[in-house]
Amino acid sequence: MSDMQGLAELEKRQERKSRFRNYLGLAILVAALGWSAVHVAILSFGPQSDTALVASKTVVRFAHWQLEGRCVDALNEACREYEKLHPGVSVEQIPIPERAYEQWVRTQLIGRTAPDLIEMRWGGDIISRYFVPMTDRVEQPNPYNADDPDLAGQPWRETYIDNMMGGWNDQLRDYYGMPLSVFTVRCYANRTLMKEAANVTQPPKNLGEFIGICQRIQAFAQEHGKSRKLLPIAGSEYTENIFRGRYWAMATWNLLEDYDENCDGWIGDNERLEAIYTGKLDLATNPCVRAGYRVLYDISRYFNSGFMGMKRDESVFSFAQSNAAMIATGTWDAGSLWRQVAGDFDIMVFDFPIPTPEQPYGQYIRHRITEAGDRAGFTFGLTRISRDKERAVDFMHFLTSRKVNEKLNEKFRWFPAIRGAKTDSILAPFRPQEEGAYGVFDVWLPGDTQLHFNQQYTQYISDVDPEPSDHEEFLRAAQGNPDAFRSRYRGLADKYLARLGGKAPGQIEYPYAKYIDDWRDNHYEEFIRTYAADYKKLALADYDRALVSGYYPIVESEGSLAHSRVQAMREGMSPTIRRNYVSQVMGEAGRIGERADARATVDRIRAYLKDQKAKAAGKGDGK
Amino acid sequence: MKNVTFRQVRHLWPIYFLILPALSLIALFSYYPAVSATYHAYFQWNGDEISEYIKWDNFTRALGDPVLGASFGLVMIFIATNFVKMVPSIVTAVVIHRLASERWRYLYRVAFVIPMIIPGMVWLLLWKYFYNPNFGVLNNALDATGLMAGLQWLDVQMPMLARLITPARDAVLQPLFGGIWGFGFFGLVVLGSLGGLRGLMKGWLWGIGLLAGAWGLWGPPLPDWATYHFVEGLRRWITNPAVLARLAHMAALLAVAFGFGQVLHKRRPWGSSVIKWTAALILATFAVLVVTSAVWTEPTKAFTSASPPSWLGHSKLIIPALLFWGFPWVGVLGVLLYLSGLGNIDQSVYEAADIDGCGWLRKFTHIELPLIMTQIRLTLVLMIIGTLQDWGLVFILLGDSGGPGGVGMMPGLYMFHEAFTVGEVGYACAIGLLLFVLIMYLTIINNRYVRVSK
Repeated sequence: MSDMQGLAELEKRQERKSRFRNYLGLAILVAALGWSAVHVAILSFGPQSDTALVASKTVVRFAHWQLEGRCVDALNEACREYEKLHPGVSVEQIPIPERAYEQWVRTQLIGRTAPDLIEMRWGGDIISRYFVPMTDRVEQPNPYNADDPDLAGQPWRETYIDNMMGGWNDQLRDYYGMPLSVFTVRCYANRTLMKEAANVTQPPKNLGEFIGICQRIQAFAQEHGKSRKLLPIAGSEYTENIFRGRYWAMATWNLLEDYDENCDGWIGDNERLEAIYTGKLDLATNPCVRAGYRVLYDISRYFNSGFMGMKRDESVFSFAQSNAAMIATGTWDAGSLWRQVAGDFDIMVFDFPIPTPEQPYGQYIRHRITEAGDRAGFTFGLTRISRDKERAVDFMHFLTSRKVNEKLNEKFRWFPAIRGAKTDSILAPFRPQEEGAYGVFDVWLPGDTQLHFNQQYTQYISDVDPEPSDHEEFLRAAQGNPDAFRSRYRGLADKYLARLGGKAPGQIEYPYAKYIDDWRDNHYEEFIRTYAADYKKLALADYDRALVSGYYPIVESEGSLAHSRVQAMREGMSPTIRRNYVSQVMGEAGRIGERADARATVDRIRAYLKDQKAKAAGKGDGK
Repeated sequence: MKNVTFRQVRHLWPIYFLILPALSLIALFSYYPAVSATYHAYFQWNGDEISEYIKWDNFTRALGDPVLGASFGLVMIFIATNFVKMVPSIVTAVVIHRLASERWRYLYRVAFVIPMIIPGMVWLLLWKYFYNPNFGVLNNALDATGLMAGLQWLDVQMPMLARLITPARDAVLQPLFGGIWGFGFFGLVVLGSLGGLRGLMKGWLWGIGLLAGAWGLWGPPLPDWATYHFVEGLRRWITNPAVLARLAHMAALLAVAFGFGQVLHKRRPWGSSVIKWTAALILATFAVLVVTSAVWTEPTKAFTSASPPSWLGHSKLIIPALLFWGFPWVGVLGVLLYLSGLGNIDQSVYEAADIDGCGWLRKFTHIELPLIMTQIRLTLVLMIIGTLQDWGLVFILLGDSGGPGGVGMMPGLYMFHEAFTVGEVGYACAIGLLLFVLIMYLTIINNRYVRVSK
């Protein structure tokens, strides 16, 4: 019995032990969770908490995508200098690659984790939702200019070369940004290569000369068996974009006369939409649109193969390695390019040439692009979620004080945005050119039309011209079965048959050069007709969707207006408050008007389309 | 399965409590976003506070969106190619498994693990450089070996061949099958009729897929609900002779294929073989026709110009370049998985096969392949899900528009573009849901019908 009791006792003891073991894991987990909770609580509310840290050391964070040259280093140096002036402040720079920048910032803004200052690149709805209007602040002097004899006491806005227009938002009628530099874009040429391959020492005077130089370089490269290693222009998606920005604006500026209904110097989305839907403007046949895209195609023939698959760094590298004689880029690459090629070759800089009136496209491209109204760039906006807005603005005051801005831009080798700041001597050829045209017309709206445009345009511009063997094949096919010829070559066959003027194939001279001209025209027509049809299919829906988002700025502006009213009641109607108040009232009225106008445009287009459909149905029934 | 009683729960609560942290994290980071996406798919939502209920509009827009449609087409090409790309991994695993020396087997296994530690970005840069038109290995190798001249020749000959074949092909296939793709699909339907009508009833999920495919290729376009009232739209649709003709055509094709299966599948032992061989013949003819008359129909002009072919910048070369990406396609994870499966095969099985006089091929087809089917099924599911979801590579190489002509646009990339570039997060959620349904459907099909023999 005693043995049995002993056994039972042993079992009980073992059970107690195993129960203890079972709870051991749980105890560890509870302890770990408990410890984490206490730790988090200490960090959040204790003497070393974030709040306490913020009180003891303010952190200003700013994000941008300018990774070129010494930009990041120069900004770091400025940050350290600012920290020395303000020992309790720490400044953190967040450089983000350009490709992922837009998506990164959007996510950070929506998630409320964005830094205090963000380099801006968006339209009204994002800005009004996430950024703080600066109109109050830009009227105050920049304290860091206090010892500057020219700028001391002047409103911050007026210390800028462009009166801070780079930070002004036309749509929202408020200042939202604080720019740091001014940029222009130019063609860079390798002087040594230009002399060797094309025997030129001076920049081209017009577009014809420019194309001629490209052809000579191409011929030289072929003669010397370097067709892959020596290109006239270093092409990439990025350089193509720069050429497009210039030549497209030059060619379509003339559309202003016919389609700027409200005479505001710009063909707005609604003006363009109505003109296209009602047939007043036909994208597929408009000669200015044609000149814009055809000239770009002609220029891009001198880029490297597959340039749309190349990135900016690849084209800059190609130019710096003397694999390309020219490149188009902005002042932002000047500093790093000069440094890279020093001792290898000289760089010649020139503005984008325009054709003479007799040259192709000369009838439409009559002016260079004006840079007189160019606004300063590298613009930072203050986010609404910034913990210490005053400190963030103070940091921007520091960066935009004349001395610091001059020093910063000297290191960037960019144009300073502040009056009186000295400019690096290598930037002389980049000085803004005052006379000329400006961009007034886009052929897409953000949304589906933009995506379709990007896809179709990249295909159009990156396609390869036919070879002489294709020309021979074409002529052979023209002499064969006419139906098979037409079905295979479609528009190109029509062009050739029109040239024949009733004669039999082979009876007129149709050399390769003529064939290429027709092929390029046809290639353009196929692209533009497809896109014009897509535009009509998609643009109205895109515009309608944008109007929903466009409602927000109005709601937001009411908030600013209310704030101004309260400020006026509390502090009296000082000149600054009066100006803000008037600006906000005007802004709100403008936005309401624009929205009403946009709605009315959509309604008019819908009514027009309905009417057209009814007419078409009537005709159909009649038949 | 035994139910857990309340008493047991009281006794076992520490266990439930222990899984609680993991469950809450999964709920927070996996289920909550999915539920939120499902909810927001019915809104015009910008990802933040602008949110307007728009019922089914995002889904109807997605179903009629040509960019999304083309992206699904591309993803199907990738799935088909990735399926073929599984073969080198299987073969490699079998070859390593059959090595006589244990030490060499071990060394090869280690050699396959090492590449796993190389970051994906390094692979990407290597391959990008491989395709560089001016300095890349591929173009230089093609030039050095004279294969570039071969491509130039093909660039002239293949379109000529396509022009020769296409009229005859269309004359036969267009009226019967609605074109070459309809013909290929008919081959699949014949293969699907292997179990006869009863098999179709049992495999109804597979049947739904077949019917959806048949409708897409042979069926009439759906009624125009947007223009007309539902009933009126249906009335106009059903009374349209063209619609009725296409419906009849589709029904006839399905009836022929399944009638063929129904009649033959019970005739043992040759019935199912006839079905299989007929389907194989149709699919092989289809493959030949696709290669000769549907892929290289126009000269790319990429190999004949003075400048070298740009594999990632030319709209007609992007897809081939992406398909060739990663050659020789020996996936590290795949090889290790198959090796683990092969390791479970007992030596006695091989000995028995030797006694029966099995050669190396028979051992592969009758022993190794069936016994690693579990691993193949797993990699197949992972591959399908991965391909449907993958877009990072295309985004890095071609940007968020999918490159020239948008040829590289994938459903995931389109979703990303709509959400983060355009700001139409609600629409992106709807695309995500459609992707989810498709992935789930393909996974169920795979789990149900890819058989595992033990």
